[in-house]
This record gives sequence, structure tokens and C-alpha cells, in this order.
Amino acid sequence: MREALEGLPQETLLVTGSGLSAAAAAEERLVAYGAAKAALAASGTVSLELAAAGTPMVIAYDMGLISRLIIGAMLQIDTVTLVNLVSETRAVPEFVGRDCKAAQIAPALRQILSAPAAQAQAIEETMTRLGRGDPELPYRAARAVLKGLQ
Amino acid sequence: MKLFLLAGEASGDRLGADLMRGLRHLTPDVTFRGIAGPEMQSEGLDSLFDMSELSVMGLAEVLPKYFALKRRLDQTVAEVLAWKPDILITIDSPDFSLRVARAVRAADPKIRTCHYVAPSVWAWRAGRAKKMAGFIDHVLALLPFEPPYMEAEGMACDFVGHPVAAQAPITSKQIAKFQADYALDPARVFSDSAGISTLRNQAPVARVLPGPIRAMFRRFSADFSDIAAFGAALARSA
Repeated sequence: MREALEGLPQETLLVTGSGLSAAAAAEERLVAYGAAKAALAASGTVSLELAAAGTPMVIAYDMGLISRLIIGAMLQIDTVTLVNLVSETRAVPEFVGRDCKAAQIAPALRQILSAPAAQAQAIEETMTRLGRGDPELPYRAARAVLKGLQ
Repeated sequence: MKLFLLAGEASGDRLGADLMRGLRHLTPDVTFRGIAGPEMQSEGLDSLFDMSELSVMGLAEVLPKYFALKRRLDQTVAEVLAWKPDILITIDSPDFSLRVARAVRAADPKIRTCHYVAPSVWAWRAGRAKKMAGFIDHVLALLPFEPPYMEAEGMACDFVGHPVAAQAPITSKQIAKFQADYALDPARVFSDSAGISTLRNQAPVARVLPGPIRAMFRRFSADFSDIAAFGAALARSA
């Protein structure tokens, strides 16, 4: 990874969390998300952690041809990005499978760098819908369990 | 009240520990048993065996451990049936935990079953909901749009919020420390409204976050033929 990044024309910083405890490394990762102006991320799941940090993002990844065909045939949704699904928008651009090409991804990334607020509403909506700011959040699961037992 | 909790992965262990704290807060009379990792164990759950035995992925890992896993499955089911909890709460790890729930329901239908973390049937393999409904009474969902999928098969389902929403927001102080640690220049990185010069000349404003890091990154590199091509495309489109 380090070698690959050295080939970039941009200056890069690789945050590995090495030498830190698991908890400190996890925290550093989240702080790094917060410090970034934008993110290019390789999975739909990390989109929620980026949203929690308020960082606009582009999602891009590819898979092997066989997985592409099988998963493509099984998938019932048009986006794998949880921010898009939870906010019921398609605010986060996604380049999956054969769309995962630098020439396509770069302009999308450039766009969110020049207009970082474009995703702000979808990100805010996502976090609200997931429970941010709800003082009852720590007890919701427990309440549901007890209610079910009555 | 007796609750048997079963977790098989770190994320489930965290959900389980939060659930234990929530339950204790709401009702003093709770006793826990189950399979847990360090988080739930530090909440006072005395684990039957360590959940790390269950954290195996993929056929290549599962096959050699098949008999060990099967023994753990039978042992867990026997423990649940002997203890007779008011409820069995299985947390994610569906390959193991739903097998336990199915066997428990078959042997003692009086024990209520609850599964925490709904399977993503809205994305693929929709048939999983119907299968689960045969032995799961109640589902706790992490995403707000999931309950209808579970309810349609006759299970009760509550959206209980997502752990990411409970995370304390990152403070500007934390960010400043991060910048200092890595000697970034906040004036350049964060207040350059043009953005582009920053990107090209100075600082890591865009993070590349490969998912499961190594495999994904190889995939990234392979597809871009060279990661440098991506950097070049990014710089060129400025």
C-alpha cells in the first residue's frame, strides 16, 4: 500500500494506527475521517462512519468477474451505500463493478471537493434517522426486548 | 429475569454490552448467561466459551473446524435448554446463532427468541426472512427501513437505532491534534476555498479508504492498473 501511494503525484498520508491500542487506533481513524475534506471509500458500510464524521464521500470498488455477475444478479437495490438508502436519496456517488474507473471517479471526487455541502443534507438526515440526538438511544434495544417479553 | 445472549463477533459483542447496560438501567432484576467477547464479559457475563471460537469466516476456515463448531452448537443449545431463560437473544453471526435459535425453538417452544441485527434481505437473499420467521419471534433492527421486511413474514420488529449514531461527534480539538501529530497545515488544508491547489500541492485532503484493506486495495490497484493512474486522473481533472 505504502509503495502504491508513493507513485501518486499528490502528497499522501497513510494512517495505519500502528503502535496504538485498538481503541486509540479506532478513534484515530474516526478523527482522520473528520479531518478529511472528502473521502473515497471502498465499501458501503464505511459510509455510515464517514457520515458520522460529516465527511462527504464517493464510494468505489470492484470485484472479480464471477462475483460481479453473481452479486449483480442477486442484488435487489440500485445502491449499496447506506447513506443513500437511509436518507432515501442518491446523494453519494457510487462507482461499482465496471464503473469503478479512475476516469469516472476522479471528476465525482473533484465535484465533492469543490462543493462539499452538496451531501450535507443527506448526511444530516441519515444521522438523525439512525438516532443521533435521541436521548433514549442507549435504551431503545433494551426497551424493545422488555416490551416483547410482556 | 433470565436472558441468554449469544454474540460471535466484535461488533455483536459491542451491541450486546450496550444492551446489557440498557437492560440493567431499566430493570434491576436481570441475570445474563451466554457466549460473549471481552465487552460483554466486562459487563459481567460469564461466557460459556469465548466467542472467538465462532469468529471463523468462509468455507476454507469453517471446514477444518466443522466438528468443533458443531460441538459448540450442541453445547450452546443444551445450555439454553437446561437453564430455561425467559429469552434467547442472538446477536448477528447468523450462521451460528440462527442454528442455535432454530434448535432451541424445536426443543422448547416456550423460550422466546429474539435476533439482534436484521439480515439485509432488502439487498439480497430475501428468502432469509421467511426462514427466520419459523423460529424467531422478534427482530431488533439497526436500520429504520428494515421492520416492514421482517413484519411481512410475521415477526415482531423494532428499529432500535444504530451504534454509529451514539458515537460522540469528532471535536475540532481532536482534529487539531491529529493535524499537529501529522504536521498538516490547517490553514492550507482547511481554509483554502479553492481546494484544488491544496489537493495538488500539499495535503492529504482526500483519503483513500480501502475496505477490507489488503484485498480491496489489490483490487483497486489492479483495476486502476496502477494507483498512480488514479492520482493522475484526480490531478488532471482539476
